[in-house]
Amino acid sequence: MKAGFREREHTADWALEVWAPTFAALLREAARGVEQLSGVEVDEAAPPRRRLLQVLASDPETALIEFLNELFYLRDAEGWWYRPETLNWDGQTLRGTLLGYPLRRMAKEVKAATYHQVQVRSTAEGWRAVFVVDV
Amino acid sequence: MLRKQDLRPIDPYTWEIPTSFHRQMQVPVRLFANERLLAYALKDEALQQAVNVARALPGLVGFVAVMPDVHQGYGFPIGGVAATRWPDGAISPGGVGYDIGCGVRLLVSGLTFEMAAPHLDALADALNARIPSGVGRGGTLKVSHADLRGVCHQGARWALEKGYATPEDLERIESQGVMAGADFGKVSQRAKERGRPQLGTLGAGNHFVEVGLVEQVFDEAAAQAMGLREGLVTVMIHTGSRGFGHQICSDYVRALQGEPYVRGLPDRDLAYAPLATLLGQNYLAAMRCAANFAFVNRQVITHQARAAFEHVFRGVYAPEAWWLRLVYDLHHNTAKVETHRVGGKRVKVCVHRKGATRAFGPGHPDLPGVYRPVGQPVLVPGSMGTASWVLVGTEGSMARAFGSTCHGAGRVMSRSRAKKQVRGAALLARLEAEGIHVRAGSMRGLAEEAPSAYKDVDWVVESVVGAGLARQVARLVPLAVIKG
Repeated sequence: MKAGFREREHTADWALEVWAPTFAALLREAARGVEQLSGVEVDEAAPPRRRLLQVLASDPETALIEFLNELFYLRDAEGWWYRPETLNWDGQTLRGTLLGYPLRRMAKEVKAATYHQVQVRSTAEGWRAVFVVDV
Repeated sequence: MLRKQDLRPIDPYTWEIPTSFHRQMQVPVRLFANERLLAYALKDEALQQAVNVARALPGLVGFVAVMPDVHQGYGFPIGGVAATRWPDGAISPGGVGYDIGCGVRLLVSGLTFEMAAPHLDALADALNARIPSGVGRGGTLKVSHADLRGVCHQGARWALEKGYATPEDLERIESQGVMAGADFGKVSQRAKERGRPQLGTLGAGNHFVEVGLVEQVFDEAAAQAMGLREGLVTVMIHTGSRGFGHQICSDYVRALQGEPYVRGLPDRDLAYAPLATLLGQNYLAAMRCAANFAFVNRQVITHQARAAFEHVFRGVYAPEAWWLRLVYDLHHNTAKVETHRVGGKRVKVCVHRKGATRAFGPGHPDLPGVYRPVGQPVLVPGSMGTASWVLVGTEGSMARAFGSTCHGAGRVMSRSRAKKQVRGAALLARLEAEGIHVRAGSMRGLAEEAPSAYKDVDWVVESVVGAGLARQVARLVPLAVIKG
C-alpha cells in the first residue's frame, strides 16, 4: 500500500482519511495531509531544529490525535512547523524525533485534532485512519 | 441520519425529537427552525449529535436546545444548548468547543456612510495593518507570565489597567468582561506558552473584523439604548481565545479519555466530568481563564481598530465622529452556571452554549442598567458579504431555551466543496464589485468562507424571532471585511 490521504465531507471542519503501509507512515501521512490543507509554508533554507517526541498513548487513536496536537502546540508556542523524522509506537508510548522549520505563513489554521469519530485500523494491506480537525 | 418524521412539530418554529426516539435519551431535543432550515438540519449529522448529547451527558434538565443555525460539529453540534443540574450534573469540554470564549462584539461610530465612503479603502488597509491575524507567527503584544495571569483572573479589567479599554467598555461586556472562578493554576504550562504570543490576534477560519452600516432599525427603543441609528458606521469583531483556549480544551479532553465513566460514549469528544469532581472543577476554572482571555483579546483588537479609525479620520472629522463606542460583547462558546425556571421551579444549572448566544430577557440582573429595560443585545454575524443582525433577548428565550438564541448563519457546505465550487480570487472580485473592501490572508481561506457555504442569516433570524427567542433591533450590511 502506498501512503496517501484525501479530504472527506464535513460541514464545518476538515475530515481526513489517511492510509499507509505502517503505523509510523500513517502518522507521517496524517501530518503531511494537515500541512498541505493548512497551506503551511516554511523556510527550508534555515537550519532545522530537532526535537524529541514522547506521547503517552495506549491506543492508536490516541497516538494519532495527540501526535497531531503536539505539532499544533509547537506551531503556536514556537512559530515553527515540525515534521516527523522518526516515529515508533510500542503500544503505550509514541517516541520519535521531529524536524522543525521556521513558519513563514499558513493559509488556514487548525485549532486542534479531535477525538470525534476517530478511527484507526490495521488491515491486511496496511493502516487506515479517519479523523476530524477543528478549523 | 434523522428524517423529518422523527421530529414532532410543536409550532411552526419548534420541532421536538422525543425521548422515545432512543431508549437512552434522558431529555428530548428541541430544534427551533423554520421549514427551510429544518431541511438543512436534516442534511448532516447535527441532529444525531444533539441526540447523542441527550443520551450521554448526565444530569440534563429540560431538553437539549438546537438553534436554527445548527450544523454538524465534533461530539456536540454547533448551535446546541445543554443545561445540566448543579452541582450533581456534568460538564463537557466538547460542549463548549476548542475555541473557548469565541464570540462577537459590536462597536458603533458617529460616522455616516457619506462621511466614511471616500476613506473605506484606506480604512481597510489601516485595520489590516494594525490587527495581526497571528496565524503561525503570533501578535505584536509582549505578554509576560504575570500579564497572562492578570488576563485570566481579571478579564477585561486587565485591559482597562493597561490602557486598552475605557470604563464604559467594561459595562457593556457580558458579565462585565470577567467570568468569576477562573484559576490560572488549573491551566497547563503548554496552554500558557501557546497563548502568550497570541493575545491581540484575530486568527483565521471564520474570524473577522467587519466595517458595517446600520441599514434598518426595527426597534427604536432598543436601538436607541445601543446608540444605533440608520446610516451609522459600525465595526464587528469575531474571534476567541486563540491557541490558549484550544490547548486548554485539548488538555482536558485528553485527561478525560482515561476516566472510567466516559467508556461507551457514542463519541469520544462527548467526554465529560461530573461537576462535583476535581477534574470537573479544574476544567471549569481553566475554561473561565480562556473565556476571560477571549474578552481581553477582543478588547485589544478594539484598541487596534480604534487606532486605525483615528489614523484615517483624525483631522478629517471631530473625534466624536470616529470614536468607536462599544455596543456589546458576548461569548457564543461557553459554559456558565445560571439559574433558570424548569418545570415551574427555579433550578441552578450549568448551561453549555456551543455556537449559541446567551440572550437574557429584559430585567435580568446580569444586564447593565442601560440594557435592563430592553433585554440583552444579541449579535448575529451573517456570512461574509451578507447582512448581520442585532437582536435582543426576550422572556421567550428565558422560558424556552435557557436564555439562549442563535449565533450566526451556520455552515451548510463543507470546506472542501466550497473550495471546489468557489474561486477565492473570483469571490474577492465579486465582493469588491459590490463595493465591499476585502483584505484576506489567503484566497483559499476566502473561498472556504464564501457566502454560498452558509445558510441565509435572514432565515435564521426569522426562525428565532418566530420561536420567541429574540426580537429584531437592527440589520447591518458590510462595507469592509478583514479576514485573518
